[in-house]
Amino acid sequence: MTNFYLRWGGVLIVAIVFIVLTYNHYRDNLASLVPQQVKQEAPTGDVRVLGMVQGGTLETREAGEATFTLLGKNATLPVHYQGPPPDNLRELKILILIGTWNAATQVFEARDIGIVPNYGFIAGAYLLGLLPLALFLFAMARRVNFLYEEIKASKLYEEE
Amino acid sequence: MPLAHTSLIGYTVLALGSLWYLWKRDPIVDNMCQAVAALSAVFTALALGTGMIWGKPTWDTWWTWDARLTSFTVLLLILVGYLMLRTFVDDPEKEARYGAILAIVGFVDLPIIHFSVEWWRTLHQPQSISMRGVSISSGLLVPLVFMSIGMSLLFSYMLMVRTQLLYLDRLLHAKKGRLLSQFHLSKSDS
Repeated sequence: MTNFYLRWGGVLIVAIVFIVLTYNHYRDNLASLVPQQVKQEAPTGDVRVLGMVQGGTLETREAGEATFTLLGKNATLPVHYQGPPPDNLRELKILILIGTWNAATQVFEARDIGIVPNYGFIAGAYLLGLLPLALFLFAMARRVNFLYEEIKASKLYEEE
Repeated sequence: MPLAHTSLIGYTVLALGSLWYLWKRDPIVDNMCQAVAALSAVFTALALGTGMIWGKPTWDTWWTWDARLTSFTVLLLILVGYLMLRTFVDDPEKEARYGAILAIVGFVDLPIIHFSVEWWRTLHQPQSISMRGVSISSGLLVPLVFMSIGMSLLFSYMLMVRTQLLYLDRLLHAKKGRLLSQFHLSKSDS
């Protein structure tokens, strides 16, 4: 039985390491700033900003170019978007913008627009899908181990 | 989707194994059929559960009596019925035979599941991969293929473990029965 638990302990450790590495790999995609943070921290380089497109501010100039104001809790952010024609850009829609903050013009230069992934549902689906399978497999493997022990104890292989 | 694909493959294996059992009466095939039915039931239930989680943000509802979802639920009921039948019948030969017949009759649900989105106008989207082509973006197609292969491999491994479990369980019961009869024989001799 000790070998059995050691083997499954190894599987558990590998699974935890895999989850941590995956989380680290996608951590940058999970994290995003709000408009107030962008104004206060003036980040350099690419950042992801989460906010709602303020009603009455969206102006589309041509396919793939638009200006609007992104609304946060306590601050707004003027945005200039230039990139592929966006499918999701609508007023009052909560979006994630990817781009750079221009401190000189005080405008966020967005080059990509994404919808907010619902990580709660994604994590829930993975947990519901994989955790019962892992527990079921563990229970079956333990039962197989137990049966082998029982069969040995009942001297199945003893010559009659 | 990978869970659902795997459970459908599992049921196909169950139906083919049942046909084989009725033809050859091989108890090892029957053992495999019983194992694959339990695993298919688990995979079908999980496919429905994770599908509900996907449906809430996508369709804004956990459940709807859509043709695809309903026919898939019928599959789960057939599998649960199969497993219940196998616990109700005492005679092992009859148990295996009745189970095999139920599994073959239940196979009629598989084409209904497959073509439900073509035959009826449903909330569920039409097939993403069909003879007409692939209507799924490569960003989703690649992980879908990997997950489907991974789930199939996991299912195969679980099937081996479950078949082994059922075999050992029967072996132990047989051995215990034989030991018991030997004990009674020795008592009567003395």
